[in-house]
Amino acid sequence: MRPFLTLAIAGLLLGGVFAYTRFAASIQPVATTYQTELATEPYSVEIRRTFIAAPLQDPVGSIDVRPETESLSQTSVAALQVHFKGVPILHRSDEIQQVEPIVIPLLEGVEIGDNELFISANQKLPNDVTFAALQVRVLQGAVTIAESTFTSVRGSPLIYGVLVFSATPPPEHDVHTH
Amino acid sequence: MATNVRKALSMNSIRRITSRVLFAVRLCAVGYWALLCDLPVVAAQNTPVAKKVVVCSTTQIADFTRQIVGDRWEVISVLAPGEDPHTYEVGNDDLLTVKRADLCLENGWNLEGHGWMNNLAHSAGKPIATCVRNIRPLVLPGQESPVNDPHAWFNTTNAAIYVQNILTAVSQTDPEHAAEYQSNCARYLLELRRLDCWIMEQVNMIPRGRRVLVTHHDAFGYFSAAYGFRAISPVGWTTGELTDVAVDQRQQIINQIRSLGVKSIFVETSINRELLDGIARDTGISIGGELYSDAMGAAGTPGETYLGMMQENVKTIVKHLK
Repeated sequence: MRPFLTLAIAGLLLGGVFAYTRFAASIQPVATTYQTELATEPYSVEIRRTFIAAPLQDPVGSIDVRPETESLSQTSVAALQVHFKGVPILHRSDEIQQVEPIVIPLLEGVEIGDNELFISANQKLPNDVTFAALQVRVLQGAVTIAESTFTSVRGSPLIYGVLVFSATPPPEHDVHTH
Repeated sequence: MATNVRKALSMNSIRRITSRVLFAVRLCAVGYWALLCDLPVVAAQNTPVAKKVVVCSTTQIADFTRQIVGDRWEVISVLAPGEDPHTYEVGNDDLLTVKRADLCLENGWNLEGHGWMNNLAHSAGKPIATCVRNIRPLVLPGQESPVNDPHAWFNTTNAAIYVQNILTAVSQTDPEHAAEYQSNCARYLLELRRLDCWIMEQVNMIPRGRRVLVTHHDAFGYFSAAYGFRAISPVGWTTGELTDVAVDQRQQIINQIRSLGVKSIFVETSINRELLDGIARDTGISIGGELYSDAMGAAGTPGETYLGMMQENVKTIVKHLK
């Protein structure tokens, strides 16, 4: 009797394990997708070269600064570049005149939620000037929704940064019945 | 008469020869003496000047230090490429190495599990500097109390602070060459700035909604905060506390991966990938590749330097998440 009981219990256990593994294998992983919704409102970008600082008392002429692109070849930035979703949407090789704004009139592909602009510039600086700055604004229609100023540092004319702005869905129109 | 003349001549020639010989002997003596006097100088010129020795706990700190001191110091890293600082066990060789040091450098905030680098330096009676000094910490919930995330070098701005802390320490130890170290530091800081710019440009290819970085342990908190990612990991900030995770915690990670629509998850070069392989299998997503986390790459690989390690990580992340 005992051998049969042992065999029955062993069979039950093994069967249970086998059934569980079949069940686990049958569960398909749920594939997830990243869904986005494009904003319908018009967005634009304005860029200004805001100021050039006065020279410092102690210029960095004594520091041996290697060329901008020795080890990071892809940081060879133009006079001004703006990237949106990894795509250059503005590329200028000329020097930006102070105060005169550069406008990207319609920013396409803005998604509901957070969006990001990457701005990089390599502005020539006069010999006695140590840094410069760019002011970047994102506008929804005529309203500024994000703004930031990016500066170069002492010894390098490279200006860069990201500006994050949030696009909201248009408010639903209330239906008023009078 | 003729005989006298001959005698006088021979006496004269003997005197002449004798004086010439004496002159030659004196000349040789002076020359020999001068040579003898000069010998110690020559010997001193040929003897190599002993380099100062700095012993660093991690490969990242060793790389930063090399950028500042160049060939002037011998830079030694206790950890080899690929070794985990959280779980490292100190050996007798390490103590012998630290005994040679003029300066020791540690990361701090307990990256070196149970403070092994600090213990080594104190056992050997050597000065030690902490590289995370003056960095604003990312505070993580701990089991008993909040802890400072020690992986601060993954934000390039913090890396610049590491470099400046190292500059201060080496300049204090060797003030004679402080100006040279300062110049090297200024040059390297510009490279870090270019790296930061490059990372921002690359990461811009990934929509912000897709910037979810799933790794084995919480090493990428600073990177994520700097470049707009959300960091998720099944294991906490240290690999030393946990070897596996609880079932409900694992399920929580799987649910997060599904709800956020994560495309790929990433294993780390210095940590066993079994746990993440299992999570990838259960969620049906791919392993995006290997990231350098607590340790840099071996010599000859792109991850051999900090700049190379960061570039490789960013290329891997962008390739699989964009």
